[in-house]
Amino acid sequence: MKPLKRGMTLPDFKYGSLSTTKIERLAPPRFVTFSLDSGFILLEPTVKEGDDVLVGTKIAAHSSYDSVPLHSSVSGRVVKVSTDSILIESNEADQRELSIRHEIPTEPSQIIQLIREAGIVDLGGSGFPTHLRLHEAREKQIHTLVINGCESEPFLTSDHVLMVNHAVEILKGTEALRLASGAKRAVIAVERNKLEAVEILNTKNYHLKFQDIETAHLPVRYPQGSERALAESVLEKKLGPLESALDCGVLVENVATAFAVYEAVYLNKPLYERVVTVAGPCVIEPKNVWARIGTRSRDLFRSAKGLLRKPARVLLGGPLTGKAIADLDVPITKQIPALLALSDELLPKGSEQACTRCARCVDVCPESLIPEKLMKAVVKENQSLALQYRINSCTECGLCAYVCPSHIPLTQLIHSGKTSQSQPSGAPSYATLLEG
Amino acid sequence: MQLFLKDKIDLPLVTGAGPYLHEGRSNFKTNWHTLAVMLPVFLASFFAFGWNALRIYAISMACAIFFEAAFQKATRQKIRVSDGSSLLIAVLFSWLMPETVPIYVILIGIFIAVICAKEMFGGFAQHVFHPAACGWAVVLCFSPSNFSSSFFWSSGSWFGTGIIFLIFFSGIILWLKKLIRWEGTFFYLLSAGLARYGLNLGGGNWDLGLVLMVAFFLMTDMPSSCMTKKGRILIPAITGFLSVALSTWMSVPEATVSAILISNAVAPLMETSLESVYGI
Repeated sequence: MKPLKRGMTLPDFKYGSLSTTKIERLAPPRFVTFSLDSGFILLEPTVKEGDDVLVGTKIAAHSSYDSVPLHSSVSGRVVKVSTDSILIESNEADQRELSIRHEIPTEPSQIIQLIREAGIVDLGGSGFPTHLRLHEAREKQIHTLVINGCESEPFLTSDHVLMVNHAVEILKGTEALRLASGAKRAVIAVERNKLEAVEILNTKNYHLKFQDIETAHLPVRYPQGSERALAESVLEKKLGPLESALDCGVLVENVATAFAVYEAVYLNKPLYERVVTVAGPCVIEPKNVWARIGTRSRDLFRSAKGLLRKPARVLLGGPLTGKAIADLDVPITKQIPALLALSDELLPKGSEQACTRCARCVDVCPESLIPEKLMKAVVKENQSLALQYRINSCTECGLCAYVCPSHIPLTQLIHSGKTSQSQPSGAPSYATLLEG
Repeated sequence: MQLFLKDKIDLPLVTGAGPYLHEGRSNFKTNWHTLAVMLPVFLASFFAFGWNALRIYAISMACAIFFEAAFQKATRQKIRVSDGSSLLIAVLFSWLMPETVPIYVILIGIFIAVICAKEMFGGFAQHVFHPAACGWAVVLCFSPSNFSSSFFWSSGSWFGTGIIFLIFFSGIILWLKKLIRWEGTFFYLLSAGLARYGLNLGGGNWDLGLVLMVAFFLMTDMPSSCMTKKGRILIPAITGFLSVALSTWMSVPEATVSAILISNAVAPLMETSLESVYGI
């Protein structure tokens, strides 16, 4: 294992939600809201207003194979259906949809089918459907499956407590993913601030005897958990600038995904809840909870005994890659690992200044980009220059803006540059001008 | 709990693009920390030269602040004297001055450094050539006769040796505080040392205090050096070689600082031409 050279060690702030490793189970919330726009395909509702649903009832799907269905997380009645969201009122009975128990499949195609039916996506943050990645992995004949338990972003502890509490399930889910992807070995990569999780995983595997699963511990460094960083660590070589991890025969999945795969394959349970860290300096009792998909942020804060003071920002996701929300009624979706209430003293202070070319962004960039050049290319709307400096390789880990002493919002600028790359610009190019 | 249940949170909450954490560095802090680390050398020069040191420092600092404020006022910018960048230039410029320099020379030099080399290029950190080196070069052309006497650390006395040690000490602290990079200093000294002792170049004036000062304070200037890794090594190495070679072959007066200006001129070219597919 060759650890990540670039990136940097961040203050982790994980102590708050790690005062207990217990994952609290909450009473079903009164209302849940499901967003039908998962970022890839807009799902179509399969229920009508007034329908009764149970826990695990399919409420939205799409005919395309690239989509995953959405399941209700409470039992109750559908209150409202619109084009992009479904509101369900819970009757608090928490009845489960009865499913026929099936044989535990061993054929890869059956496992992939089950994973798709269970609505499993990448729970680490991207939300990309897992079955598509498994198909791609089979096509490219990968040799290694890496289960990412690094969780290097500050404040997040949901993967940590999941590994401590459900090591057997994660190992079984990993084995199912390994069979489905056709990989020869699987590596569960964990950072060294979670060594007890490594110990528990090794102990459980001693009895389960999955010969092809090994564990690895890596130094604490952000963003060790990114796909390319893990692939480089496992392969012990540097990936080419345009190679993806899958091209080199490595599939990276999150531990939360492995756990969801276990539940889908062994228990036939669709993905309707996940572990969410509710933390931040403004939260009275930071903790990890089993949050049903669609639970509003307000209810999750209430489960953590509320807020101590007025939060400066409320974030869905980690402090470097997450998004600030304006409203506490925003629901949890499948790919969100944390709900944070940040106070004023943590936020960046100071106004934006001119770049001093201190090259700290160059030092920390995990993809070896030059954020300063990209920033200038985006500001000048020079798309060819941005492409020359590989703007699409940026993973938006947020480190460049984190270290910038001039407080330039580099990550935001590069993100806007990437989105404008995909859309054709209105201005005519030089070629058309000449031809005209 | 109280606060939350009474719904005292005003909605909508503030949003904005991430990341929502920051390391806490700022340009303001960087400048003033650098000035603070330079303080031992600053104080030691008073012991060595007394009133002359005070005269040079006072005039150059006052002029630098006045020129910067006046220029920013005249061009209707926000006045940013408090960021300490012009003070830094003034201190570095004074270190390049001989002991008996007349006042008008300091005035011209600071004017060139602050107005022409820094403010006209766009203000703080936008310069192409190091302002202190620029001011020094112009002053040297104006009145070379004033520069016949040596710099303040090379007076030959034990003060001079002490100040050389202090410069080295401040440079190491700058590096430990991560205010400068080690590559610039290291490769500059390495290549200058190799050129002088390895290739037996240069019997000319080899001023250890000046070389160390250039290595720690001028070579490590961020805006005028390369951002890419190869450039960070190559540019100081070229500068180090040039500073020895120029003084030997072409007998350019004070080649150490001239080499800085030459390397500043080629740094942007070096940065784009040494660009590999992999970025850095």
